[in-house]
Amino acid sequence: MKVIVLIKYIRYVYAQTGTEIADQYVGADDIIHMINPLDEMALEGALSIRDRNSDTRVQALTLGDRYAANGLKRALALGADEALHIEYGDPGNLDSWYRAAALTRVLQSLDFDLILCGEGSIDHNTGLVGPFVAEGLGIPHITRVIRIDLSRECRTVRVERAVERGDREILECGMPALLTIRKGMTLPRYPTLPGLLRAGRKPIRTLKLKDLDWGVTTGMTPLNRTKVIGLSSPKPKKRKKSAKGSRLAAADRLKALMKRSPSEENQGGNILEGSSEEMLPRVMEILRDNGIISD
Amino acid sequence: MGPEAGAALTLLERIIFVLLLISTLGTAFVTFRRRYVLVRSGKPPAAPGDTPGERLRRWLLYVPGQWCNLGNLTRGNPAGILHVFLFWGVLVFFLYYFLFVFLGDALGFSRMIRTGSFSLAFLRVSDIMGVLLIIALIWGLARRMLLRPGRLGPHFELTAFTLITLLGFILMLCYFFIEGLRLNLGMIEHAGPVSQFFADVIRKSLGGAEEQLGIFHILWWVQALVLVSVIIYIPHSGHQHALFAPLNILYGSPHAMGRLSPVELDETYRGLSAIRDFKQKQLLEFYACTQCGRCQDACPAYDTMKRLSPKKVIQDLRVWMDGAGGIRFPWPVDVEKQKLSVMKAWESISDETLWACTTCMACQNACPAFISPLDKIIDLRRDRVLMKGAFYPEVNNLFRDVETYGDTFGKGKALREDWALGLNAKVLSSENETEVLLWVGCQGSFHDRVKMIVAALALLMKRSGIDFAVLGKGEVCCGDPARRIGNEYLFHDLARKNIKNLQSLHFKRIVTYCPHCFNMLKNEYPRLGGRFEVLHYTEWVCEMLTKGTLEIKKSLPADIVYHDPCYLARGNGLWQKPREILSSVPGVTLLETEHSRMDTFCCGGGGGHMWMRETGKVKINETRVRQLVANDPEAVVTSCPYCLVMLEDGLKSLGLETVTCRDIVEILRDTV
Repeated sequence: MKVIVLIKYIRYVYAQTGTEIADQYVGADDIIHMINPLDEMALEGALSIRDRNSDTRVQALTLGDRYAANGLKRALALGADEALHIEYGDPGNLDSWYRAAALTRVLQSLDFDLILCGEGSIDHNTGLVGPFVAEGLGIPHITRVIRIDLSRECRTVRVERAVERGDREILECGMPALLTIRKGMTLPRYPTLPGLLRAGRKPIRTLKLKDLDWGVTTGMTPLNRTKVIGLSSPKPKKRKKSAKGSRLAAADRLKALMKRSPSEENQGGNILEGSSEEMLPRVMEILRDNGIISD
Repeated sequence: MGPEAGAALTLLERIIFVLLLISTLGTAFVTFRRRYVLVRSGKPPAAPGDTPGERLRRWLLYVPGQWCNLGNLTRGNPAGILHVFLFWGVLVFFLYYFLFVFLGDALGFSRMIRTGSFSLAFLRVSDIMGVLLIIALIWGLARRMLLRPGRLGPHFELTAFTLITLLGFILMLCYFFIEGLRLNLGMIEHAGPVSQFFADVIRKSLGGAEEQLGIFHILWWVQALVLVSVIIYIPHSGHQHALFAPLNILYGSPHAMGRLSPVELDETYRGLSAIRDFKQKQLLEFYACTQCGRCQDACPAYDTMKRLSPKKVIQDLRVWMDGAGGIRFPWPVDVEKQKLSVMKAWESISDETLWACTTCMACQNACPAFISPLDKIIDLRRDRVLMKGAFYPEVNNLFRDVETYGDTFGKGKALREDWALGLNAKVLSSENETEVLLWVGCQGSFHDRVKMIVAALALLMKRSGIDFAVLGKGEVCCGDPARRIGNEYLFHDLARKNIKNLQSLHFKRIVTYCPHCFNMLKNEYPRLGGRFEVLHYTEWVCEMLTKGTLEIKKSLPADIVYHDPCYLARGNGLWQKPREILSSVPGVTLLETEHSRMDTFCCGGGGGHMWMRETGKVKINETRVRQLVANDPEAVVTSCPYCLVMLEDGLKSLGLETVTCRDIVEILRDTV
């Protein structure tokens, strides 16, 4: 039984402390490189399948620049058996379609029973590559999977799919299939020292994107089908405060009070100091001023 | 002179006694030799850190001088004195039995041995030691039966202890009576004073020589049989520490208590499953443990009812080691011990026990036999993390944050300098140089409460006029939380990054704000190639105050109690300087608290516990706060960010809002 995990090594912007407006104020220190967390979860899913079915092999596949090999090394350290790297110097210039086309092309020459990937990457958040690859390969796909159970003979897979607010759909699917994984599966394991040392010895097979043989048409032409025409940062929005006559519930009003901005939860507010006796009148004052309690 | 003792004993009896003695000594020797072999099958030790002369001097003070027990005598715990009686008493009687009973009676050299001044002097000494031994035995039994101090528990092993005490008692009485009888029967010319007294008592109460001879015969055999039983018992009881503890004290090496031993992170690392995975010194320590329980008394986790007892950790590992090494008990043992014997090392200690430790080193400090339960716990943690990836889920977040962002908060390199906004502090790079490098640490860089303190420290440095700089964005976590939780790999990663960075920069010395960073940079980085001059800020401030570069101008009338951080006071011996600083502020009254200086009580934030769950209902930080406020202080002052946060939380949760919690820097900010 063979499971392939699609891994994206992302360039994640966690802060904006740069000085150039042309770079959206993103400086070199604001970027970290890491495996997309959802792909890590997909890898954990694959490794869990292997834990339960010992004759499974797990292969990690990534399309990225040469630093993406670090992601594959980590996948190998966590327990993947093989790793394949499609190397391309400027992966940020490829859109979801092009990436999916390249991955499909390579996957067509591999055999597999299951392909797992995260439901989206946290840098661009398109969530398209998984479904594109599945369609390109002509296999079924299920999204937002949080639990995978293989049947005894390993011919079908039964999955739980997160719908909303804790509801689950249970679906069954023939294999080969592609599943996109959502947050909610088990916590990804931590690499052990033997795993890290062994990873150094497992080879990573590298292909260059330009060397891929596009010969026979796959139905997926390797071209960007979208073009980014602009990128803007969110402007700081004015704080919303609930008016005295508002019909919002008290809890929602308190939340509005606590938010510094619409996108930051519970980061604002004032910290009062002093003894309980000193603080209480001030608390009452604030609640009264904001219409949360009335006299 | 009357008949020799030898004449009262038939040749057959003497032969039987010698055979009994040789066979039991032989069995004991076999067991001890097996233990020696097991100990030697561990990993060999590193080179010693001191000269043989220093080592011998230390050994002489602690073992014959019994400083191991006299050094930690307190009014509430004077039991160490009785151990001095036991130690010297046993030594003297060991000689007595060898010379006077074995060589003298059994082999017939009595006449030769019992002549002259040596014999008289010796008997006088052995008489006195006999009395002291009886006192010690009664005192010991009374403690276990009546006083029942917690540290000897929770299993007081009363049956075994009563038995051995009774046997010892019998031996001592036999000694006095037999010597007295010898004197009466004319077998010997002189005896010690107490024996003479016994001789008189016997003469008055018993009849003629016939009766006395008969009783002599009986008592001699009672003594012989008890001796033989003791020899059978000793190798399988806690009393074997008499052999192993002095060896452990001899092979101990002096270094800062805060330093952990390193581990090679390559294919040779196998975790902790078999005896050969331990170091020889560790294996020796399992046998050197006297089960006195001082470590248990000192442990903050045990004090707050967690499932961690350092004594139990060592004892469980000893039982495991005996089992793994094939040493069987000659009598049946309980089921728990049987189970331990067939496990792997890492299985013998439970998860809850292992993760409850705050790595405060109190156990290491308290042990009279120089044993460190801490380094076994750390090695077990390393096995859990490195070999199995098994730890509490919340620790995963910590590891992820440190790996990805380089700090324990997960805020990232880009925001690491934000604490210094507006301070215009020089940032050290390869293009400039400085005299003092201020190492801020993760807490100081990101924690809202602590950021203000570090900013105040930087301002203080500015005011002193000293040439200082910070690392700014180049600073990565020192690696202490990762290392204390057992993640050596991550620690090595971080340490190498920091060392590489530091070696490329130009500075004379490093002053750190956090004691954990201080401990890492000073004691643990040198082993990885990073040798720098490192000071804690309290040392630096003391220097500045002495030189006059900083002057305390304002007064602060307040009752202050100082809490010694574990890694500063116990780990590195730094408790005097912070007190000097506080005492030099006019108006300050420094109150004393229980558990201070080397015996300080942990705040509960170490060993990764800032990020790990605390089990049980009683919190370590609240317990410490209660100790600190016992004398009604206005402020609790400390010099560690972890202690500050933990104690502040403790004060809040106990509702003690009138007592403030401050760092020494804040005191200085207001008075310099």
